[in-house]
Amino acid sequence: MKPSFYNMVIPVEKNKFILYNTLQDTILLIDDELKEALESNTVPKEYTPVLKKAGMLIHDDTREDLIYQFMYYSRKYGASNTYFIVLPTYACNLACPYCYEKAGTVLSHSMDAETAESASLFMKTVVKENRSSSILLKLYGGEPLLNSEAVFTICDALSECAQKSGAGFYSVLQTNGTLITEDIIDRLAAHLWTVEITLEGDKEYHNTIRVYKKGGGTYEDIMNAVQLLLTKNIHTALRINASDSHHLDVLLKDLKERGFQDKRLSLYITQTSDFGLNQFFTDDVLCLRDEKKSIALIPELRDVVEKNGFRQNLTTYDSLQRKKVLPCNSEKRGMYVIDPYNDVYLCFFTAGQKEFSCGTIGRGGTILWNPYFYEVMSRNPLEFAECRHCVLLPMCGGGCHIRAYNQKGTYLASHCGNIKELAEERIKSYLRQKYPERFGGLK
Amino acid sequence: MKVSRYNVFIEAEGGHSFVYNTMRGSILAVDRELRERLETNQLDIDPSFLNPLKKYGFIVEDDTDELKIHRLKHNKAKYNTARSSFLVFTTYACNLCCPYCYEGTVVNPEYKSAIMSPEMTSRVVEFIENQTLKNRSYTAGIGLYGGEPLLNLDCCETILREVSEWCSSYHIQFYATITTNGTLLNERTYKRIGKYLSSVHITLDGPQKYHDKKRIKRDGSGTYAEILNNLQLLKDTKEHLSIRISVDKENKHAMGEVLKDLEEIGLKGRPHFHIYFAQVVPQYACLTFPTDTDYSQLMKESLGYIPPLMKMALTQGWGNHLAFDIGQEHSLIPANVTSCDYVKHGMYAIDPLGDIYMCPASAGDTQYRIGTLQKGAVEWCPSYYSIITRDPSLIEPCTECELLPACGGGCAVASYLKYKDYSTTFCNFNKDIIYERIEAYLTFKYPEKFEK
Repeated sequence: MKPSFYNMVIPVEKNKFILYNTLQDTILLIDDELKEALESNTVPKEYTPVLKKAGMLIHDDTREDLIYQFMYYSRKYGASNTYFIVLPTYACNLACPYCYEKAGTVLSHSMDAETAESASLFMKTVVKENRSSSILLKLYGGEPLLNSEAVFTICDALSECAQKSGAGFYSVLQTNGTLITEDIIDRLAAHLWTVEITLEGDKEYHNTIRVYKKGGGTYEDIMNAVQLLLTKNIHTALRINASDSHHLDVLLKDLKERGFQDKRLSLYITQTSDFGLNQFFTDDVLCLRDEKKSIALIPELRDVVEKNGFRQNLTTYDSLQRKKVLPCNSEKRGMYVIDPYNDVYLCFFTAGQKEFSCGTIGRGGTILWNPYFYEVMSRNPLEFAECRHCVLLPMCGGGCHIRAYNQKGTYLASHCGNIKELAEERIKSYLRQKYPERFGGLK
Repeated sequence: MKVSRYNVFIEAEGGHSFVYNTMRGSILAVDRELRERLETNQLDIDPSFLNPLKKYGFIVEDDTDELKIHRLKHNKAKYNTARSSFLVFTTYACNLCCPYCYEGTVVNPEYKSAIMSPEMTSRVVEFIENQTLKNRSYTAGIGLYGGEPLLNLDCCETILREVSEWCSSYHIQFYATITTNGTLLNERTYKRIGKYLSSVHITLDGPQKYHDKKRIKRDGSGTYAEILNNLQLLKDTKEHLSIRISVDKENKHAMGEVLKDLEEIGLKGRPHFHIYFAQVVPQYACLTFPTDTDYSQLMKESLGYIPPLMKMALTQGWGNHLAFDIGQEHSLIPANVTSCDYVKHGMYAIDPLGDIYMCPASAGDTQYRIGTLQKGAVEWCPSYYSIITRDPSLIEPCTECELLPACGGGCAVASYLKYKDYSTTFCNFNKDIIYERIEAYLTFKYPEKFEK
């Protein structure tokens, strides 16, 4: 037996250490005696079974790099889910100041009937080829309901395709919520899994940010739409951009008053950045600042959710972020972003930037993949020296290929970003959340 | 534009050649001049020529990296687990003693009469269910195998019943095949398992005179009449029925008799009935990759007599029962995106002792097992990860080889035997044989171009 290469040891208090295995996503609390025994490979017999089970102690001939490669390849190429993000239009009726798409002022094109038809054919072909057990569709924009005809065409097509193949069909309509009508809900009800709407916090604050192009806040219109959706028993997910606990508190009180709490409502909480897409992809320092802020905010925001009785509505993301294996969905085969020009992208943040398009869907749904596509599809972090020797690889997967390209001029390179600064913090944050009595005060 | 790295040229008669693209499976007859241009990458030719060459992949854009395209195809085929397949050796025992049986030499002598116990059977069922869910598969496929699987009928029935019921409660498609010598597939046994089966696979070694010399019982008696009698049971049933007709130098002239016998019992015209001719595979040998001179010689010889047999079957009206076009299961030209069907994520061969193998031909030789079924868990061997992650698009000389999309990088086990390292390749006779197979196919398909 030998200790796993993917063991991480984090000191937490005097003589106590967290032992986290990044490959197996297992965690133990150990004392310094066991830590030393593990490091010198002299673990007493009574401890070997548990360490072995956790993958922290492995057979001499076990090749963990190959185990990682197998996990990576299975997820990258397996395509057990097929996932489409479709932008029926780049146009939007709102003018939120932080919009990375510039609120539809740079691009405002919409799919016409023929484009929507070709996109549907393309998606059907992919589903058939992947034989996936589930199909996920996210309708995104711009504001997708500005092109509701395309939304209908695509939903109908994929829904029928799923029914024929026996796959599960999960569609999410990501809308700003201002154009939802009873007619639209009735038309889509059979296909819709979730409607997702963004709020910025309480009414007053929200109405300074999510505003109509023609002027005026959107809060009341959105609340009416949510009311309508919940009355029709459609699962509604509110994405709440919360930068402090006060705005969140006022908002939750209002949601409660409106009686949304016991309905099919879920919440998830995120933060927005005050910088643009360009910095997002190039400035690791700014990203780190925001991520740290976000981790620090979590406990406070969770308290507010708890206090207002919305705990059962909250969708939490494990702050440990578990083992990611792949850096992001955009590196997976079978996950495509389709824009109104029928250009296909891998990352939705790059939609509209043709240099990151991997091909255009033609009539009949065919596509000729370009070299960029094959580059990303052949990306394997074990081929990057710095990843091969990095204990964090299973948590990070080699990093974002777009950022790697921006910084190193090739997709076939690693991008460490902030993982090295944040890994320990994420593990500690997980412990604080999971075991508040034991680790609540963990620094 | 540039020429594809996967063009191979086969000389025909009268100054003509064929170019075959191993990645696309496309074929084109070319004259001397065009061949020369393709071989030397001189593409300043008439656009009316260029377009079809491009369409069928003989030429590609300058920035196209075909090795990366192959890599994606390979990994797609290998890691897609829409189907999980479980080949279950219900026993290593057999009621026949065919002289060429590979299991005679591979299987550890202690295991030769091993029968899967009821306890192990339920472990296998549990493994099948867990693994199918873990792989997020659409379909769970069971292949009953042996030895002679029907010698352990209880095990066959239990697995089929339990897994099919489980599948229907999870909305997972269920698919079951059996590979049997056919002697025990009678009314009594079929009644118990027939309703679960999607496909039955049986071998005949030529007509009775030849078959009864080789596929014999322990007392030396033949089995042909018994098998044909049993086959009548399947005359009107719904499952696929596939008959492998083994051919060698001795029996090759007598194949018409087998077809006549099959017609007589009413199988000609039966929907989902498939026949194919294949050479007798010697002990030790892999079905896909020859590992010794004698076998490679046999393979080459068989390329001489199998195409005429296919032609004979075609002219006698068996066309609907044959599948040998490019990309079809029994094609003369291999198109192995992965080197063989067994080296895929989601494929497991489980023996009566609960050892898991990837290659069924190595089952019973524990040095090749990739895992073991423990109570409630599987222990995977380190070799599993070495074999499954083997990527020929990273192995020299596969990276430079025009046959890579046809061969898939050769056999991992053969590479290990030669170099003690799975991440190598051992071409051996592969290259030679693949060229011969391509030529045999072209000669079969376009005889007029090869006539002197």
